[in-house]
Amino acid sequence: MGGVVSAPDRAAEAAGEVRRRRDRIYDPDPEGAQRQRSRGMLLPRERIELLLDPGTEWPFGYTLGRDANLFGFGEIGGRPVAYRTWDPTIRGGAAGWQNRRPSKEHFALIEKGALPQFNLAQSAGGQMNLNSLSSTFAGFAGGMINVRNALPRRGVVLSAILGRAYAPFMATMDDFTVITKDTTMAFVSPLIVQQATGAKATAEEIGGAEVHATVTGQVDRVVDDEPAAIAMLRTVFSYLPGSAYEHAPVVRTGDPADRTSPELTGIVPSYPNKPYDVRAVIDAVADGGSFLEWGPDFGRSMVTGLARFDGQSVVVIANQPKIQAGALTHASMTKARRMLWLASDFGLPLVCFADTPGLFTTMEQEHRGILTMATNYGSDRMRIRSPKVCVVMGKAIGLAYFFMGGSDPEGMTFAWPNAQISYIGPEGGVRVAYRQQLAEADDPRALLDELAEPFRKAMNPWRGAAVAGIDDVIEPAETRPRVIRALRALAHRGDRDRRLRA
Amino acid sequence: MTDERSTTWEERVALVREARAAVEVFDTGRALPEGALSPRGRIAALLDGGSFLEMGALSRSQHDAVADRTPADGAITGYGTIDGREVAVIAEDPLALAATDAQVAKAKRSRLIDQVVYRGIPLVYLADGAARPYPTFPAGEGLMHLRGADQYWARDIAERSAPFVAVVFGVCRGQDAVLATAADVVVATSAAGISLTESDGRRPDAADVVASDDREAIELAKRVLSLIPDDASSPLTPVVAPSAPASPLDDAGGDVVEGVFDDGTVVRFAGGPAGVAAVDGLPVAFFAAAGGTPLDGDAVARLHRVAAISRRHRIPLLVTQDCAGYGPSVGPRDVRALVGELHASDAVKISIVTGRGHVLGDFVLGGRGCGYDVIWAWPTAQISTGDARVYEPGTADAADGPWAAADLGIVDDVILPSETRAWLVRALRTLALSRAVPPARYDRGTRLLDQE
Repeated sequence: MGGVVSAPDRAAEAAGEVRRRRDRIYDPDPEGAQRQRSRGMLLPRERIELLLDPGTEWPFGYTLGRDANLFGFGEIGGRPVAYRTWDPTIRGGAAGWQNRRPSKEHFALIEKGALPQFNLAQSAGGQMNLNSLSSTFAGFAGGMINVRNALPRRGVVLSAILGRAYAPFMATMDDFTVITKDTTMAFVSPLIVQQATGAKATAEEIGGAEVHATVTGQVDRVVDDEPAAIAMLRTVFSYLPGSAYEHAPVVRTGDPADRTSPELTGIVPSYPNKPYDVRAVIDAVADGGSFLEWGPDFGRSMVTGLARFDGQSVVVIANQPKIQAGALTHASMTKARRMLWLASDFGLPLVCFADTPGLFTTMEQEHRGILTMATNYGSDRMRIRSPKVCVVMGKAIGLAYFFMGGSDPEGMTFAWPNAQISYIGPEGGVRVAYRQQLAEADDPRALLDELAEPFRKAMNPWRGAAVAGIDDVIEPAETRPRVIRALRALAHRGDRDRRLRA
Repeated sequence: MTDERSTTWEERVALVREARAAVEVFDTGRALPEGALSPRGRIAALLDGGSFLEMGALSRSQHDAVADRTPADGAITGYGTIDGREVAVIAEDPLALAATDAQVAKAKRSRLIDQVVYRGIPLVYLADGAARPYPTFPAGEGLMHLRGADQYWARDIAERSAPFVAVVFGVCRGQDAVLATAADVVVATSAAGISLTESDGRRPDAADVVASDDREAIELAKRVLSLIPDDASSPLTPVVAPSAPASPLDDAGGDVVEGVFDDGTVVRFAGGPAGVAAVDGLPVAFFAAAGGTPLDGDAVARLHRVAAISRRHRIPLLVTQDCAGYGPSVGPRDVRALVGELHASDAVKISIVTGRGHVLGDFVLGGRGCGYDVIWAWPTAQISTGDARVYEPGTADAADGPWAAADLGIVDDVILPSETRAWLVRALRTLALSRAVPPARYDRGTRLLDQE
């Protein structure tokens, strides 16, 4: 009988081949899967199921070849998304070259549909084989860079680092990155570090979650495990528009828009010289329980994150008087710039809470290049065209006042009556201007106090309000209704994208 | 002497309330003529209660000597809602030493206009100035406090996409007058005067609509505003609740404005044939020429006003004609400018010949050459290319009925007067999406070939 195959058999065989190829993702390499399981980690399949709404997955290009890149589409909260993940059961998840074509097609569809993109990363980097050398690499890398950075931003990009990840650039070109606490992310492995420099270091020392959360600022949140990381991506996404062409979903919690916050005068001092936790202010003013902090352990003199005001998602940037008196540091501005990009790329309103003595003036900060950082921060802030509201809760000194959105002609500035707005702090200014007198005084401390008092008085917000640089001086309790009202008034009409990008 | 550092929250909050009360008293504590409102009273009459969000609420002149007499520096600016719709407002205060050089006020107006233009927010300008000459203050004093005062009008209000309505209550002069006349519609009270310089005297003809008092002016402004959507690039949808016309047409014809448009929505410019209205809730700009007489220069100017509103906001333009061409007061440059306006417009344009009419060439009331999309005629229409009596004095008017034109396809259809409203609504609904579609632009010559 040999080679004779009936037509139905051929069809069945073809279908079987499709299923078999497709199922390779459902039935991973047993040895690799075993390795993954023994580390207590999830398989790609399980990660995708946690990410997407049930039954919405559209795997993309799975029948083409067995490779460590997996792409697809699906829905989250009923909104269309794209995902990209790596299969750690195959060569440690090292990106192969077999799937470069579907990868580019996948990117092209993401671009065309302005789709939000989710990266679930665990990867050993790139595979080294004869096919991966110069010519193909050049083609692939060009496509990758082109899609994300050379074109204007379209969809949001959110990433989770779920396992040891080397060179996960998809995850560092993104808008939000979450990492699980026991994992690492780095450009190269300890072995390569050792080869290059002879230095011995563990993967954790080079790029552990803790290092990124506190030193590099390359991740926005650290969570306990993989399900929490993927749940975090879904939560963050619920605050964001899918792309620059949409508005963020409005999620009302039942917190009334006209609710006042009388507790604020118990949190914030009436003269700005005592530390307090600005998170308590944000919690009191935003929709109850809506504040989602980004980068809580990095650049801690600023508090950044997403919140909702009457259901409307906003980017929040606040000074943290509890840490370094709320001074702007190289690290805190690095962190806050990510939030500025988010606001300008996706038209999210920006709400700033200012209580800062200015830029952090230490030699270490100067050596890190705080001047250049300040320039970059300032120009990023000016680029924002979405609604902007600034609340001055205390000190707003020097360049930092502008950096926090104070007196932005395109936004609204509300000051509490305790606000101190000036280009230099009273005591600091007096120390410089009267240094001779202070040096010669019997009681320099008393003289400083005496000389500074008129400046303390003159730094009030009333003069700024008189020349309309401040839109109103408000009672702290009124802050929430004012911010909500201002966000509504400043919203864009009609073709939002055309306006934002004009 | 209280130490600044020991000032309590209670003392600080008391200052906020005091400052607000002072602003309030300046506004409410003034004597007003019969039927007049204070600037904040006008804002209250315009906006939904409690919706006003003031910008620069505690601002005053930069000259400390007059600070007490200049709340808001004479220009109250901010945002509020009208029937839930967000709008921006500038209200001039004639009592607040408005005739100072008012650098703070200039910065406030400039900033609001900037926001209005780039965010696409509707603007209402409540103009009112004192009938006094401008005193001068030392130039430069106080400028250090201000942003943007040196670039008065950071953006040209003409770049806006959302509607702009000006209401003029008193003297509106100089830069105020230049701003007010940039509005889509200028409403004025009978007490108002709009002029560029003092010596011009009062020129009420710069107003489109005249009201008897402040409240009526504000109501008219709200009606106009309700008829112009925020965004010119979304599909045409009802802007007001539909209602029946005041006196629906029967087949004997009659007044199109009363017989076609929704009752209570019509705003006529200068009481004449031009204006804005709603038909079945959909906004239209209209010009209804009646009486069979020629268009005069004034009529061409009014048609230009409504054509400009139609173009900028892409709301449909409806013209009806029963007229005998142009009269001697119409200049060719005025017509040329109007033809350009009509050509440049991507709005739906519909012409109905109700009596004597001309539908050829670039006649501004219905020439295909002016880009009219639909041309209908009533059965009683007399359509001609000119008046035969001009060529053969002594002969009767040789205008045809509508049928020859219909047979040639010069008019698209002959409709009964009683059907006019229904057909109009059907056409507007059919073409509703055209607002959202980028206008088609053809290469030179292609358009003609397409139409062959």
